[in-house]
Amino acid sequence: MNIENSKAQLRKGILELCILGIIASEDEVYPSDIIKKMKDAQLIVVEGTLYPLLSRLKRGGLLDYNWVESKSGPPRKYYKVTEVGKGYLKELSATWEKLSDAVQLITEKA
Amino acid sequence: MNKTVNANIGGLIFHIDEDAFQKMNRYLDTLKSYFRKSDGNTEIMDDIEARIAELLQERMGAAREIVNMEDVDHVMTAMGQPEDFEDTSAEPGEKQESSQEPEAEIYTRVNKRLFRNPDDKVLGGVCSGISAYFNIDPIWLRLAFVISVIIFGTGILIYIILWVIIPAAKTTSEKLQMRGERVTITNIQKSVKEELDNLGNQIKDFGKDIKKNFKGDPGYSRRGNGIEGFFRNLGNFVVSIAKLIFKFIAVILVIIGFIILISVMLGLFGVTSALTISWPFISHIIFENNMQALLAYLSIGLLLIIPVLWIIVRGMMALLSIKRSRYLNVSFFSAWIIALILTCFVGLQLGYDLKSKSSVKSEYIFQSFTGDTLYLDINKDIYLSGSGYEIFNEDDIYIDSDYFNYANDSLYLQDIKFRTRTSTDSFYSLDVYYMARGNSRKEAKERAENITYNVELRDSVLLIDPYFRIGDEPWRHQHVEMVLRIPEKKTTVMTEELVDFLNRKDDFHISHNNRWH
Repeated sequence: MNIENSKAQLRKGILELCILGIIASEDEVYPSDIIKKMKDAQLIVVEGTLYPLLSRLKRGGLLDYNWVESKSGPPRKYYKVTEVGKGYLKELSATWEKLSDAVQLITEKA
Repeated sequence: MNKTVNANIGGLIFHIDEDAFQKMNRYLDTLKSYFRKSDGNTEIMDDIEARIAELLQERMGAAREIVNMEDVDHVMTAMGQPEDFEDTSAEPGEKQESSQEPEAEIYTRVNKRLFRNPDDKVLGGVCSGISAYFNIDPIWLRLAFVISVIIFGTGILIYIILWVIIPAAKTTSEKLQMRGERVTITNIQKSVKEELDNLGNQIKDFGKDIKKNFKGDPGYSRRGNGIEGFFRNLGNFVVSIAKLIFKFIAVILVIIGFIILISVMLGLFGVTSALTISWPFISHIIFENNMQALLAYLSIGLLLIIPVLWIIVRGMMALLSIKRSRYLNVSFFSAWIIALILTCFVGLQLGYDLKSKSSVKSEYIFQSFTGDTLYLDINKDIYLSGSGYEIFNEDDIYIDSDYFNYANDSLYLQDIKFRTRTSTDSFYSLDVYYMARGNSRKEAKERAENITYNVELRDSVLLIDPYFRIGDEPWRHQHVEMVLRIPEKKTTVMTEELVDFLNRKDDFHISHNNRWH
């Protein structure tokens, strides 16, 4: 049994929820901001994790992006959550609440 | 001073140290191949590159012009390595990252060919190769081969044919084809890596050996090394030949073992065609009851079989390269000792049954006989049917010896002794002693009483039975002794046949002619 593996599995499960949540809390978010916010919340990922995930969420219709011109450098993508994405996020949050309660209950008894 | 390269990263131009550029290039290639299978991979790569460019820009700031190794390292740390990407993809078709390489090969039966496996062979790798083709453990095929060898050695011929026909898997791709793995670059890489590791270890060991030799003898010449290497190789060669011979001997031993085993089983439980005696009858004669007989057969059987089994098992273990068990020899030996003890026990029991003897006496006083001469002859009437002896003619007699005949499933004993004495009165009298042995006087006496033997006086002839029967008892040296008391002044005449009989002459046989002397 590989503890790192198990830990990674746990984290994987909540990444989508977190990222959607972060993007939804702002109007538009830039990937490196997302990273920063996750670091602030003590949820560490490398940037490389983000990009495939963002790409997938966008293709799934949960996110959308704008190109914003930058003074110093190439245009950046700014992401925001679509309506579908908002509904998705709500459901995920609800599930998370339930899970969180369940886990608390179980691990208390254990 | 370093050489710099101009690179276009995410649409921006950078001056990078050459070595930093190589590193960055490799990193990007790694990412590219990681994302290759993902949908939208170009987009992802573009995003990542753009982000890298941004990061580099920040690091350059206004002051610096050249991207160096440190900057590249920083970027790589920030972006992460593919192993660290916690990809939450739930859709099939997206590449899953797992921290362990999948152990089980997914066999696609594309490109599966039959080869001999030279890496896992006992003789020629035939069984191993065929087993690889069917994805089974080679031991089953080897077992079948050994069995087929024993059954008139048919297996040997087949094996040799297969050995010649099927090629050995020499190249890596052939080995993969033998196992049925897809011949992909990764598989070949893996296979080659395994072999290289093996080789590397062997070379290391060899190097250690050489070093040891060198250290041990400072005056070691290079020439000596060469010769020593030659002899070492020669030695290895001889050793492998010897191993082969040992395996061959093991096969022979196994075969011999099986042959002995079968003969022993036949001997113990089968019918010996030469004598047409049924074993139940023999064991009835020897053993007091069935329990004893069973025990005796069991212990003797085990005594014979256990060593043979041991030979077979050891032979097969050597042949099939099964690991030796510490307890194997011990358990076989102790089982054999137990069998030995049991055999001795039965033997002692039987011997015990012979220790006491007793006799029963019958007295015949021939008061009605008033003649001067008494003739003694063998009672031939017992050869007639209805006499109770159930012997019809000599041809029914299967065993003919001094002491007993066996005919018609019955035992007829001839252990009869005869002597004469002077009578104390004027009558002929005959004392017949029936004697037997047993484990106690009482038992011996009972046995003696079960002896069936008759004499009959007919006119002036005393007819003596040539056989007695012992009833349902086992044979415990039952015999008959007779003492004939002859009064003075009377004569006694014995037929030649009776004389022969009593002297147990070899050419004694019953004829129906009376000859008198």
